[in-house]
Amino acid sequence: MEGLAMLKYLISQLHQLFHDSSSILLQQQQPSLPTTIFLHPPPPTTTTTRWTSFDSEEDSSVDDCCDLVMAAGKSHSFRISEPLKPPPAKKPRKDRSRGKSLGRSCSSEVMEQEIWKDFPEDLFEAVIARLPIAAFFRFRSVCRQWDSLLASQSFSQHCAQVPQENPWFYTITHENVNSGAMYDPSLKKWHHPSISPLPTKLIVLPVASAGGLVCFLDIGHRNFYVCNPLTQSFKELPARSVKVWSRVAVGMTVNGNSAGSGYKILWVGCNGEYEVYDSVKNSWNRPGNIPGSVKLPLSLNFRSQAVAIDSTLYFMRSDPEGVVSYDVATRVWTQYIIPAPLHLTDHTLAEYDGQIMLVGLLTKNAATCVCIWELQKMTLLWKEVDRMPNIWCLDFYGKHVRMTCLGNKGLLMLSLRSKQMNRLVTYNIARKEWLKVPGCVVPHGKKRQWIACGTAFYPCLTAVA
Amino acid sequence: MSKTVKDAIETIPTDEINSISLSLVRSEILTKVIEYCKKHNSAQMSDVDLMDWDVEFANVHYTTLFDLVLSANYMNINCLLDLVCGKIADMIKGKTPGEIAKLFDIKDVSTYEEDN
Repeated sequence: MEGLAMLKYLISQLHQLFHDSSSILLQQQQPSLPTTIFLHPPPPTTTTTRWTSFDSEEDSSVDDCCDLVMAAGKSHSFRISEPLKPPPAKKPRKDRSRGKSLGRSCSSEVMEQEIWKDFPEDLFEAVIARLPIAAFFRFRSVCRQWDSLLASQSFSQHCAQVPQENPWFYTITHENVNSGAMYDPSLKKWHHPSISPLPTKLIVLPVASAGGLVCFLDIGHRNFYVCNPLTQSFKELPARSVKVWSRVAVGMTVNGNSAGSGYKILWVGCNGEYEVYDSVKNSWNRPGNIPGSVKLPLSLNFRSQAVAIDSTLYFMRSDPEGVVSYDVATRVWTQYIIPAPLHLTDHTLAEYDGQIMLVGLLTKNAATCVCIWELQKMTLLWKEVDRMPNIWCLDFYGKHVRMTCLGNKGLLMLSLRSKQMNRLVTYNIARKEWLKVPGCVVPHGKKRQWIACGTAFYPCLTAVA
Repeated sequence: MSKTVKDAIETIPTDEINSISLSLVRSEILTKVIEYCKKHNSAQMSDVDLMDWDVEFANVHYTTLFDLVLSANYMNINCLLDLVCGKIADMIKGKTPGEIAKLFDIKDVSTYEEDN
């Protein structure tokens, strides 16, 4: 009787909750699912260990790389090989605590087949879409059905729904300009695809990314290419109608939430020439001229990647200092005059949650520091919100430092170089977390690579160029 | 959107409620589901804190997790389903393909060879 009362109470609570709530979507019930549920005592909850915000351990020179071999054979058949040598015996403190908080204790002997063999088949795709990329490639050999997931529309939809917390970084290293190295910040691992997704004769540089796709421009500023770095999906864009030989700034947006609905690429030059590529129509279009409100020549900051917020692209300019934006939906250019902070160099735009930010080096006397600013929309002024920890900035004291910022949305990778030093750092804008990045070393190599340039991209297995 | 569930609840005749009352169990999972829904509806926590809360919420015994995934699927609570599927993905990511096939009792093994 107590059980009935409790159940009645719970049902009324549920009724109340759904009556009042407005944020949780509920659809028609499916009749085919099992209705019996087993009772087990709740386990004692373990506390999750938060990462330390600052890794004081120097990374060892033993490489951390995982060799991803992605070969194009039959469509959708890829091979992936794990590293030949065993992983390093001693993991940094951070990895050990992270392993615990992710439930590494739930190993195969704990997950009993007794329960899991009844796992509904229609939920497999939802689970697989949430696997780390390397695990996905490994599990393709589980069965034919899982092998063919890349071609499945429903799997693609699941992938589109998975919120990608952290982007990966696609980088070009100084010593290996023909193929990129990719960094996965959640596992802190570098991947070196031995077969580049791009034709090897070309030297191309990543200039923008959206929806899991990366846009490349060849070194002569002539041709554009779009590719999904995780799969072999690759496309050379048709030639532009305007022959532009000088440097251009490039921005990329997706129509809707994922690259499935198409994407647009904009290039703009200093003389105000610009064009927009629409992937749906597979053509370039010139919607008009830049209005007089945008001062020409447009002194674009080419070190800064364009920032995309919904359908608007933002570029940094100088003379006057500020930002110009282009909305690909309304086709409107806008100029914002924003004074730059003093003593600022190597600055780039970034973005988090619709908020425009600025990242740059502040050098005063002999001290250099990496600073982060937020744009105050009402006053159009930059407001400093964070700085790299002092102890790291001290490493650069008295040295001439150059900084390249890879990625500009949510998670940034900063490459800091001086004569004798080469530091790679990631900064998480939301968590205000500065983390060191293990050095990029090619498989069977020992020397740390210098990152020439790169871009962040949100890994999406099903994005098609 | 709540109308469907409201309808579902209203269409359960009173005497059927009596027969469901067999298990306190169901109330246990319902409790978890209600706890989740309430937390996500309250909008009192920041996104980052809510994410941390979600991690804590999903850190349960695998049998509870299994029950939660079925319930979330049955009641079509997408955000809870995302969370639980993510947790399951996390639990299996370190396994070999052979272990996966054995765990989920998958018979149709791929003929595709994997390099090692």
